[in-house]
Amino acid sequence: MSDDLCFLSIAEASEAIRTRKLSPVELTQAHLDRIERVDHKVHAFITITADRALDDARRAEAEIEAGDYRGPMHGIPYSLKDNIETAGILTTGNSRLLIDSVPAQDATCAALMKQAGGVLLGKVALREFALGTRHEDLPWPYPVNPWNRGYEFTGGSSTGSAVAVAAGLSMTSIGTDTGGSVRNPAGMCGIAGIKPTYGLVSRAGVIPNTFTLDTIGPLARSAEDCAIVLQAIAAYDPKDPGSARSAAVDYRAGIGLGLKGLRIGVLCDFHESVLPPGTEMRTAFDRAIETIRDLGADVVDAKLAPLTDYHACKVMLTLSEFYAVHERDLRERPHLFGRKLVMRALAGAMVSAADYLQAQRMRLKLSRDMLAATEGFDALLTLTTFAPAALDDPNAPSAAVQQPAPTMPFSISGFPAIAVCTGFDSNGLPLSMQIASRPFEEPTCFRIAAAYEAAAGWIGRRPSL
Amino acid sequence: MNEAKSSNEAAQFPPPAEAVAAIAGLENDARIVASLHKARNEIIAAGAVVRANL
Repeated sequence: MSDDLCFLSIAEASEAIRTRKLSPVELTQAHLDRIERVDHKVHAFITITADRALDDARRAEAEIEAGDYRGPMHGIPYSLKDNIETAGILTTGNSRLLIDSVPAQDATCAALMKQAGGVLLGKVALREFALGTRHEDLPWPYPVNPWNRGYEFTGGSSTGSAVAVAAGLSMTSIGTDTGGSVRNPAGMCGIAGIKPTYGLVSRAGVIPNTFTLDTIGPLARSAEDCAIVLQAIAAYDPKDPGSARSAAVDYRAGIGLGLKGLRIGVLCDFHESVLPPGTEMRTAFDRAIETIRDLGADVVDAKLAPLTDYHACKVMLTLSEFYAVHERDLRERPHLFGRKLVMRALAGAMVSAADYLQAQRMRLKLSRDMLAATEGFDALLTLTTFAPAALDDPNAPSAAVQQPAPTMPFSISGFPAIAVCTGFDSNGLPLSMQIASRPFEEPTCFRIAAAYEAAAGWIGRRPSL
Repeated sequence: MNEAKSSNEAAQFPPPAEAVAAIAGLENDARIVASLHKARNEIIAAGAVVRANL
C-alpha cells in the first residue's frame, strides 16, 4: 500500500488531500520509507531532509484541516536539484567546492514551493555544477537508471531529479535546463520534464551554468503533474534580471481539450542523418506521430536551421559563461573540481570576447528565425535524445565540449519544450520525444503531451526495484 | 629562441592547450592537455559556423 502511494500522480494525490481522504503525513512517510529502502540502489539523493519533510507535512495537514487549502501542491512531497539554494540545508552543486555550503536564503523557486505548501524530501544529485559528465572522483555515487540498473548512464544534468521521480522516491523534482538538462534525463528515465520559456521561472538563488540560457523546470511522471508544479513556480521576480513579466496563465487549461484543430510540425531533419530507419528510438517516434495524428491534429513536416548551428552557438555561450563563473576557483582550487569538469571548464578560456558576442548575435538570429518558421504552427515534435541510456565506459575519453543534441534549439531560442515517454526499448530502457511550442505557450505543450500520454498508455509503469 | 617561441604562442588565438592547462597548474597533465587540444579544434570549428551565419 505504501508503495502505491508513492506512484500516485500529483493530480490524484492532491485531490485526495483536498478532500481529506489522504493525509500529507501518511504520503510523506510512505516516501521517506521508500527512500530508505530504495535510494541506496539508485543514489538519487545527496541530502534527505526527513525531519523537515515531516514538519512540512504536519503543518500542511493542520492547515488543510483548518480550511486553509493552498492548492494542488499543498502536502505534496518533492525534491530539489542540489544547485538550488535552500536556507539552512546543504547545497553542494554536486561539487567538492561546496561540500559544506549551507545557504542563508532559499532560491526563489524553493521559496515558492514552500509557499505552495509542498513537502521538501531533500536535495538530489546532479552532474557537477550542471555541466560535468558521469563522475568517479566526487564524494557522492553517480545515480543509476531505475529501469535497468546495469545502465548507469541516466542522462543529465538533472540526474538525481529524474531518477528520484522515476523510482517513486519523489512525486516531482525541480531541475535546471541550460541545453537539455531537464529533458534529457527525463527522457532517459521514462518521465516528463519541461524546460519552460526563458525567464518564466526565476533563477535567483540557483548556481548559474550559462546565465543567458539557464531555465528552471519540473520533472514529474506526467505532463499534467509538470503543469501543476509549473503553476507554483512561474512568477516574475525582480531578483532575476532575466525574469519575464507574463500574464497569469492556467497551465492545465488545455488538458482534456483534445488535439482537433491543432497544426503540429515534425522536425525530421534533426535525426534523419543520425538514426537509420528501424532504430528503436526512431520507430517509437514514428508511432507517436501516428498517435497524435489519430487524435485529430494536422501533422505536417517542418524545418528549422541545422542542428549544428544551434550547437555551435551553445558551445560558445556555455564554455565562456561557465568559465567566467568559475574562473577564480579554476585558478586557485582546481583540484577540488572533478577531472572531467576541469577539462570542459578550462576550454572556456579559449573563447574570445569576439566569438562570444558573435554567438550572442547568432542566438538572436536563430531565435527570430525560429519565430518566423513556427508561424502558423501550434507545436513542433522532435526526439529528446538520439539514443536511450547507454552502457557507460568510465575509461572512455570525455567529450571536450557537448555533442549536438535535439534539445539545444529550444534552449537557444528560449522556446518551451516538454519531454514525454514514447515507449521502452528491448533493454527495457525508456524512449522519448519533445513537444515544443512558441514562447509562453506552455499550455499548448501540456495539452498535446497529456493527450498523447493518455492515448499511448506509457505512464503508470513502474521500474522493478 | 625560447622567448621568441613563447611570444609567438602568446599571440596565438585561441591560446595553446598547454597555456590554458597552466591556468589550473595542469600543463604537465597529458590527459587534460589532450582534451584541451580537442576542445581548441572544436571551438575553432564552432567559431567558423557562427561567423558563417552572420
